[in-house]
Amino acid sequence: MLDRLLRINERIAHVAVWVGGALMIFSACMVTVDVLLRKFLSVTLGGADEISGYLFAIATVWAFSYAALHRVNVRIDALYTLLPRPVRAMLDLLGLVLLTGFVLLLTWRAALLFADTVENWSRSITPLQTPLAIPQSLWLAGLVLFSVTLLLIMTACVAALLRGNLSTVQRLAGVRTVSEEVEEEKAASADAGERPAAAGSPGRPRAPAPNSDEGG
Amino acid sequence: MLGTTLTVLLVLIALSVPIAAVLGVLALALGQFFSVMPLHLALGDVMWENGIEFLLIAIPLFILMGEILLRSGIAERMYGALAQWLSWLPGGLMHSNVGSCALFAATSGSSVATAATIGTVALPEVDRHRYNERLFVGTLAAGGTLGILIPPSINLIIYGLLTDTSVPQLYLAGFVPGLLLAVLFMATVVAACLFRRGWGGTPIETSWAMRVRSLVHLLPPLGIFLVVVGSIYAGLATPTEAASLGVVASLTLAAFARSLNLEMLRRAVEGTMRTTAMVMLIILAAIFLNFVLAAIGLTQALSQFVLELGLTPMQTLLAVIAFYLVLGCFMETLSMLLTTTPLIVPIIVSLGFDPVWFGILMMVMLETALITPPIGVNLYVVQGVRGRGSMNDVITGTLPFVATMFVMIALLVLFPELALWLPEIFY
Repeated sequence: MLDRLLRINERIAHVAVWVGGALMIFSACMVTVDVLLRKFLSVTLGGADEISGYLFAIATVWAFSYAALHRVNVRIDALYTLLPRPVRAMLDLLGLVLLTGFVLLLTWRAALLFADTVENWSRSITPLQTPLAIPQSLWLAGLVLFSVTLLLIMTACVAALLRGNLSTVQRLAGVRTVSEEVEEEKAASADAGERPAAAGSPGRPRAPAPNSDEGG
Repeated sequence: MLGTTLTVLLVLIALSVPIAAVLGVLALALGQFFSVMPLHLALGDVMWENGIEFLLIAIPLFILMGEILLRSGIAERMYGALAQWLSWLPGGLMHSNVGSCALFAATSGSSVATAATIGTVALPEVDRHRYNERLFVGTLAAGGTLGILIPPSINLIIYGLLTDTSVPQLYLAGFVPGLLLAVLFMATVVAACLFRRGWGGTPIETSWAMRVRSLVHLLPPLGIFLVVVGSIYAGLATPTEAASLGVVASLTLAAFARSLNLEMLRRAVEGTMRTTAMVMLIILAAIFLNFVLAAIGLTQALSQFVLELGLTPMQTLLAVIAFYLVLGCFMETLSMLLTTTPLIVPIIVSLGFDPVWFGILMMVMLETALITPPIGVNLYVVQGVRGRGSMNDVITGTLPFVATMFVMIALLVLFPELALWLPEIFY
């Protein structure tokens, strides 16, 4: 049950990342057009910076879940690596609990901010006068997804810890090893080597990433 | 208040709590205990207002640009071209290692990506040309650090945002020290290879015709660099707009290199958003902590405390440098930048030092942290790419370059003009 929920969550997080990335590419193009128009025709789209700000905020929070599922939270492991595995598993859980607590509080405050915005139907103090409820609702949705993801991971970790299954805790919430990081960078540079052939071919086998059904 | 803050900070970090949670929890706790106002009420506003901050958008855009360039194969071709031009020096390909790192750094903002990319291309050459392997991997680990100093650097954007310093000025200030450091690295290689003839490996095949033909492979990285940095100083674009231009330019380059396709974009986007999420969660938490520190007056208290120690500004500066070098042995650089900037920079500025100059000095200290054992990210990256032998080889091979960085830090302290000269001309 929990595994299924986590898998569904992973799918959603994956799609959210693609949409977020597409939004970033879109904003880069929009801002580029704006700069070129300003330079060569002395006109401006008006509000390109404001809109890309909203897109950025939304894309960022939508990527949080994906990052959590791939354990890319930065942690200092100078002491961690010296400790026995059971203690490390406890530290994994402690870190997860504190992170989840902070994010839940953040999501709650963001929800109150959103409620305020809706109640007053606040608009941005710019020529666009964007009704802030629109970008903020999408932003809040990302934070809610992040909270749900963290709660799921945490529940799975507690369950694994109670069963004494330390390797699952490591897989869900452990500090990423350097070899995992390096495999990713290597895979990225390797992409460059298969240029024209890559066009139609499906994804190559890559370094196995424990949390991902995609292997990315 | 000071003692509590530092203790909580250090304990949470040592317990390997995620840095974002460390900063967030610390901020909430400080707000709870030391403020009459419930500061957590502002959490939603602070996150939203900074989440849409236009300057911060430059960070994912530069990461995206680097991811696209990484996958378009320009790094390999650039390495080959620089090998043609630089390998006549004593030390051969080791100079193209440093040169490629410097040039790649100018198109990407990340030191780890730089070390991993150039390392993958360069390492097969060790056996082919019989280099001293230790020194060779040392040039990769050290050269890779140039990513955070040479513009467009993501770390400088973060520093600029946290300290209210102009990012274009910081970028200008980073140029000369960045190039100088690259030259010093090369000088270190030359010195080592003159000292021990055998370390420099066998020469690679080259001719003037091959050199001239290779020049075309240097154009893409130079072009990207000109688009990004040129547009800022031509007064055409802000850093974020320049990053947008850079993304569009790198997409165009990838299209010309026939590497632009959906699969590649999907991977680039996944890599970008994962890094962005990781970095932004910490940045947002650090901004909130910054807000709390100012609100409870801790920043002033700390400055006051340091002033009352009665040290001269130079003594304080040296203490700060020593602090960073020691911290750098144990902490990862981004966390170091984000946790210490709100505390240390106000002290430094109140002593009369220039924030732009200190930003550059800080980048060099962060670069040193990337290659000082036991926790030096680039050491692990290069060892990981190498995939054989012992970690000690990388550490030993990198030590001469750590010494070079100490020289660079000393030069920056003695001659602040190294950093401040360019910004003063422009501003």
